[in-house]
Amino acid sequence: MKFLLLLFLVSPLAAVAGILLGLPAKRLAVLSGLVNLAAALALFFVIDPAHTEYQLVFSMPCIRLQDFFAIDFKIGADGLTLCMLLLTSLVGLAALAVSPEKIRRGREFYICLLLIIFGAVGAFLSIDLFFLYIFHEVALIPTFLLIGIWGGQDRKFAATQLTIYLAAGSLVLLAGLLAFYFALPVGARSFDLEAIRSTLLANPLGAAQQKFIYPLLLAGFGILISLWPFHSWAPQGYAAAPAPVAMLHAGVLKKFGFYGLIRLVVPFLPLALHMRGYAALLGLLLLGNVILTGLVTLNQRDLNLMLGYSSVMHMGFLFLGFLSMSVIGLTGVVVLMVAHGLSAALLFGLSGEIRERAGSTTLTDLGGLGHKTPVLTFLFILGGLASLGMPGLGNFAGEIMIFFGAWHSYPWLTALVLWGIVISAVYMLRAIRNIFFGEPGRASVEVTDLYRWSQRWPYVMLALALLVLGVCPSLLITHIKPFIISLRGL
Amino acid sequence: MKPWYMPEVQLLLWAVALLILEACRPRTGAKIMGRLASLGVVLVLAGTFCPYMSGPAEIHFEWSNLYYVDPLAVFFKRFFLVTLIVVLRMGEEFVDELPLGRAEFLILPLFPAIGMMLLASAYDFMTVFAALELVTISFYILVAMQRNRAAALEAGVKYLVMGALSTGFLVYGIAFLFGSAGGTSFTQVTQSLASQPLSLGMLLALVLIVVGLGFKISAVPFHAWAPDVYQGAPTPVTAFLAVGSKAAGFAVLLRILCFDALRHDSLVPYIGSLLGLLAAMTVVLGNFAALPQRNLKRLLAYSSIGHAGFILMALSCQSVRGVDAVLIYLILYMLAALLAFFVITVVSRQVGGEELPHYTGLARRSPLAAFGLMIALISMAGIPPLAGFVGKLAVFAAVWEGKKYLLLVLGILSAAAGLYYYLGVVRAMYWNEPAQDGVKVKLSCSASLLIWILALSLIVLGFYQMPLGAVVRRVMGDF
Repeated sequence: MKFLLLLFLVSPLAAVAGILLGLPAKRLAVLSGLVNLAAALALFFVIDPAHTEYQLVFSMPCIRLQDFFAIDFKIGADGLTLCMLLLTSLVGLAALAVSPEKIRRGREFYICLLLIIFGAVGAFLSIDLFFLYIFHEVALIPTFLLIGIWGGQDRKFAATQLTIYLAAGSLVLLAGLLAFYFALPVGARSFDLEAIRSTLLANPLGAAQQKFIYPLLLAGFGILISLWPFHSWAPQGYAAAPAPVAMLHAGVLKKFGFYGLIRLVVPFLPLALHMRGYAALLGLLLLGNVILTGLVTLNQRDLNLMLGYSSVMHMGFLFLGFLSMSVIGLTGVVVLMVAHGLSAALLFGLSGEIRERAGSTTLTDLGGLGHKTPVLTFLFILGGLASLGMPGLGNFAGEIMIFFGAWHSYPWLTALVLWGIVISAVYMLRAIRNIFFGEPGRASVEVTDLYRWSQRWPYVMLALALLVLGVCPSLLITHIKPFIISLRGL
Repeated sequence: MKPWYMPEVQLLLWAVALLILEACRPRTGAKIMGRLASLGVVLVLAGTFCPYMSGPAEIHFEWSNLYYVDPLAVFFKRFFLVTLIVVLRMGEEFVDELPLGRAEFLILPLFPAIGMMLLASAYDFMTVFAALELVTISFYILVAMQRNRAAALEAGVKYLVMGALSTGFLVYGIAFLFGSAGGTSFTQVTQSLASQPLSLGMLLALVLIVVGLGFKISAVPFHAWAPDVYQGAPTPVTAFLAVGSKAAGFAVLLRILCFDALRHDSLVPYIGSLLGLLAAMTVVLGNFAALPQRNLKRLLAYSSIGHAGFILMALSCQSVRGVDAVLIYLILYMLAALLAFFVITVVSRQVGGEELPHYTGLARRSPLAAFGLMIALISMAGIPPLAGFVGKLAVFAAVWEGKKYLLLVLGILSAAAGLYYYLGVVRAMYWNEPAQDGVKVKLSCSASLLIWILALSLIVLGFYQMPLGAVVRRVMGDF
């Protein structure tokens, strides 16, 4: 059982090696995705929800120098990791499966995708902060290449902007992590989250130190999450990216920012989070995400850009749950992270199908697709309804928990953020109406449906996962809640 | 102790023997001479690991205290030998471009290497001076080796003039040191610092010596020669200048500022602020001036100025962590820079130049060469998971611990700027399709192997840093 976690890392690497040796790229990649999904499902039964420490820990020392860092390669899983791994393996498998089999420079394409998955899985598994950081950066260069080589309109600008933005963000994050490291007492400095936890449980960081470290971490992770006003890379990047990349980035990589905030800020820097000035600032910024970006979303005329802005906008809900610092709110954050990842991946994937079939994603060019493409229409509407928070689908479960959690401490803010639901309903329903109903548009003549199951199953899988999560969120909540409670005996 | 224990002496004998052989048998092919030279270097490198060849392992003096052997010196000697091996392999790829003096081109690099190794062991400022001159004079010849090219001659003259100027500063500094300490041996300098109050002469000596060495490591404002010389010199020589000569400068700086000679509490604040100022200027100018460059060698010249800035940042902390960072950064910079210059040597010859447009679509023309250059550049940019990040992390950590926050901010900004021009090259190689007349680039078997070795070591060291730790611990064991 101990090596179950290593399997997550080994399977994408093995697929990369196989592709380099000349084996068929797509089949191998999908196979590694299936292995990861099977491993994640197995993990669901192996992890004991009552036990909130890291489980299945595997470690290997990497560098030990006096007066330098002690870095261990150390991986393990707990309830939070499990949720993220489920998300990664579902979205990863779907992204690999919807990638076209015949694509220019196909081997490089699949290698880059597999490296993104490798990085995401590694970041979620790492217990050592050093590896957490470097795994999250593994995805950067493959994303740069993927958007730049296989992207759509404005690919060069979008890819360069995204890469420089994210790299600058991770340098800020690095400064934050160094600040955190050096704030630990001299004898107990370590990158090992378990060791840090036991050190800081005994004597937590002082308010001044927390006040200094928190903004660095918030900005570092915030750029990755596309916290307003650091969000401008996201919509253009996603619009230019090939569909599988947008699925992985919006669905999985972005969630890493919240993962980091929950791992580091919630347990170790609670005072800074509650500090009045910082809470007000974050409240304003998340309103920027929800209201301002929401209004910008309303004005989009291109489906991909609209989905990109919409994914920026929904990050505001997650920040609200994070700000609430209540058990129910933080649990809701994790549920919504998974649900939003699934729904964003579903929508970006289907939007890619539309782009490929119609040659355009401009809303006015499309229309009347509902008759021609019933399956695609059904799946897209399901994803759209999930994204606007329809009860019965995963996002609703997460959002309602967040609102319940936040109402207690921030009633006014919650009331304002609730308008976000209305805004998303407006743009999503309008988009659905424009694309699938009404008169056929200029570009919708040639469009064909997802006829074969080989085309359908990745989307059906994501939609089913959303449905299961919506009907029975307790499947995840049983794993998340004990973990959240254990973070600081809330 | 017998002189043939010294790797410098072994290498010198080998180099002279090869030169004589070349003079007697001028028809011997240049490549064979290159192979023989490499063989000798490999043997000398192996000898440094073998107690029978390298003499007693413990720290000791030689040549009436002019020469000193300790783990730091041994580390740098191996560093230079490894660099030399790759440079010679690069030279073999390059040698057909030369009008004449092909065999000499593959033998002469042994001489600056001897000088560099001697520098690592120097324990007297006179030895430092003599060894530095050996390095510089050998490089005068190597830089101007392609004498049918105007750019090469220009590079040679610039290197000559700037080299002479820096020597002037260094000698002036040593003279002041002699005046205030009564001797040039490191031991005497240390004793005089301990026994007398700090004098103005000593401070002047410190500044002048740092300036003299600043030319070697191309620290701003003494960097002006570097871009022209790097661009004009034959690529293998550029690589040797960028890695070997620079590391030699840092070896001396480490030795005199952090280990012996000028390491004294009374000087620490002066050295800290002097190096901190140099580091700030160097790191900012190097990285920002690289932004508009379109010639790959010139770009790498500015980038190597930037890297010198990062190393100076760590050095200016004068802490154990700082020295750790310098060593780790140097090792990783060596691997990445050698890989980059190796690919440039091989590719430029076949595509006809080293301007950025020559490299468009390289990924289609030679996937391995493009991959190798990408790994090297991204490692230099310090993007995880490649090993260059570990070096940057070590430097930033040292600077943070030294509470030089302004320097840290400048370093982070420059690292972010660096990303742009490194990615620009990657972009040209991977995004753009090759031009219609784009030739396929062929790599020989051994060249592919070397690219794989260097690239994999950069990837593996990013995830598993134990080897770096082992090397640094051996050097710093008794510090």
